[in-house]
Parts: sequence; C-alpha cells; structure tokens
Amino acid sequence: MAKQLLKLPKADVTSFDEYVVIQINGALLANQVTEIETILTKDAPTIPWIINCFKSDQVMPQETRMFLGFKKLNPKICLIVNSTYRVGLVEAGLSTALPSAPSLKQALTTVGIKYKPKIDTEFINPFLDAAIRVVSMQAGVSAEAGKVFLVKEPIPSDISGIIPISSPIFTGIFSLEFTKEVFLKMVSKVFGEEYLEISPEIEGFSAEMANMVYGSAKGKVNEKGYTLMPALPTTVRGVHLSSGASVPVAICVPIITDLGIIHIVIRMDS
Amino acid sequence: MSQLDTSFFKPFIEGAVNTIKVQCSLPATGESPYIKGTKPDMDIAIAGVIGITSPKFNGSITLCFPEKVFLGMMERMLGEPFKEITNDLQDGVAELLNIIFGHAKVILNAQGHTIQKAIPTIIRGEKIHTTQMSKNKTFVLPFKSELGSFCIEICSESSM
Repeated sequence: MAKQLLKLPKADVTSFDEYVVIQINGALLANQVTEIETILTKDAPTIPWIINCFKSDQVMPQETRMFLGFKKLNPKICLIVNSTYRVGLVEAGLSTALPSAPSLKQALTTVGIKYKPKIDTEFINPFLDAAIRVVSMQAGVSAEAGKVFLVKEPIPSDISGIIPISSPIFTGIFSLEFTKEVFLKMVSKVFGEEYLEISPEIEGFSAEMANMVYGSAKGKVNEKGYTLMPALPTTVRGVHLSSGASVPVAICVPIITDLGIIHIVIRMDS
Repeated sequence: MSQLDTSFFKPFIEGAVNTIKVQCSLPATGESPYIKGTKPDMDIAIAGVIGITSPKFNGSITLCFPEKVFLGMMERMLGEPFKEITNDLQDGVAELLNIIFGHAKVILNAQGHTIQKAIPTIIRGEKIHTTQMSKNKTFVLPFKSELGSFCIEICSESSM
C-alpha cells in the first residue's frame, strides 16, 4: 500500500511496499534535500529509491548533485525521465552514474523489481470520488457508485467526454459516457433551462464534466506517485455510439443518479 | 507552441497517405486543410481518437471514416468483403491511426517534441461529431481516394 512519508511544496516522498517514489516538481532548497535524505535513510534505507523527475526538461547541476548524494546513501536508485532530460544526462556524462528509465516499469526493472501493474482501488477510487462529487455538485442531485465491472460488450451511449491518460506508469483512456436522455436532463438541471436536443452549444458539457473529474482525480492520484499530466478532452457525439479500444483491460463504474446512470470507463494498457 | 503550423501537419498527412497506400493498397491524396466548422461535416460512422500529451502541449488527433470508405479499406486490407462494421473490424481504425501516429511521432520527436505513446479510442456509431475542448481551433486535414473522402482532425494547445 502507498504511504506518504513526506510532502514538501516541490517534492513528495511516497513509500510503496518494495520501493519508494520521490517526486520532484521543481528546485529544492538545501534544507529540504536534507529533510528528504533524513526520512529516506530512516524509513527506507534498503529498498530502491525511484526518483520521478519526468516533468523536467533540463538537467540542472544542483539537482544532479542531489541525486548523486542520494546515490551515496543508497546505490539502488533510478530516475524516471523524459527523452529530453535523458539526452541532457548523456550530454552531461551522467548517464552511467545516474541510471534512468522512461517509465516506472522500466525503472523498477533497472533496480531489480518485477513490476506488477497496480490498477486497483488506489487508482480507481479518486476517479469515482471525483465523479460523484462533480455530478452531485454540478447537477445538485445525489449520486452514488454502482458495482464496478469489466467491460466486455460496448456500452451504448450518445455523447461522451474522452480524456487520454499518459504517464510513465501507465497509458490509458478515461471517458465519461452519457445516454442522450441522461445528458439532456443533466444539462437542463445545470443550466436551469430545458434542452430537448443535443446541440453544439451544450455538447461541450460532457468534455467539461470529464475534465472536472479528471482534474480533481489527477491531484489525488498524483499524490500517490503517479504523474498524470493535463490532457485535452474531446467530446464525441453521434447516434448509437459505442466506444472501444484495443486494450486488454477496461473497467466501468456506473454512477447512479436521480437523473439516470452515467458510465465512467477507464481503459488501460497493461 | 500555441498555434499549429505546417511542420506539425505534414508528418500526419504523409503518415496517412503512406499508411493507407501500404496497408490498403489505396492511393490517397491530401487536400488543403481547413478550420473545422467552415465546411459541412462528413457523415462519420467510425473514428479513432488519440490523445497527445507532451510536456509542452496537449492535443488530440482524430481519424474519421464514413462507413462506405472504411468498409472498402478493410476489404482491401484484409482481402474479404464486409457488409457492416463489426466489433472485430472496428479495431482496424485503431490500427491505422496507430501506424499514422507512430510515423508522425518519430518525425515530431526528432524535431524536439517529446510525444508519449498513447492508446487510440475507437468510436462507432452514426453521424459522429467530435469537438475538442480547447481555446484553439480544430483543423481538418481532408483526404481523397477512389473509395471516397476521409479526414484527420487535429487540435492542440500549449500546456505551459
């Protein structure tokens, strides 16, 4: 289970059973670095330290000194970096001193842990909570989560908001799917005006809802060491829509409201 | 990057023309791009949507086919005639989009972008209409082939 060890304005330290993820979100002060080092040597001296600096593009000398300092304390470290940063590391001649990988999976392999995809309640729950909150707040209706199920057959819908998820940990798609009836009832409730047809003016609402849910869940999920990035939501509208993706796993959570059922679908690549 | 420029379109146009030519033995030509909404929509029956996330910008690429064009392409690709779009057949659009995206990704990343891999979503239905939630306009890259027209829609915005 994930356990947050330390939270600083520009960094988070989260412990997982077999490894620790140190998330770096910006330049750190010397005393903050010491704070991180203290907590790591106290709570996780032997397990690998994964340093997630996926968001940075530029190799900073101050930062690499910090990483080398970590390496002295624990030789089992690995950075998660994007391709620009990786080029920077190679140019600085640090690519052997500081092992790096483009994703958590590969970082864990580098330090010798077999990666097990962890798409569990820890990941789904923030999306669920956010969806319930957004729906109940926006439409002023009570909403609750139904039983989670694996999507085997396409779920028919008329309009949906789709958001791509890509992070070093996993790639997938988050979508919020409405039937026309539920969508119109919800929009009418939110805007206080009756809509009988899905028009270009109101269709953006589904992407807006998906964005609110994603944005709110993103914050929660990222606290746990994932690095979800902002993404561009797309509204898809049509007649007898069914969506799918050639991915191994798709999970659907129905959100049951007084206005009808909204399906949240999370599809992921293993 | 706040606005789309031609260097961004080109890899997608090239990718689409090449992919369709190789996979479906169908010569297609790119026509001049236009802003979505300025011309009437095609009657789209199947679409693949792929999201782009990179540290600098976010975007979305949609590959759209009318039913007739898609079935014709699948027939050429798989060598047997199809009457309707089935669950098995719908993966074809994801596959084509993936190849096009892969082609464009390599070129764009060589220009200094850091585009991550992504999974296409397949949308099937009638009269599909997509809208991107963005301040920027969506561009439509239309293609013409002997089976009919299809298009790619591109929208992106800066994430900085």
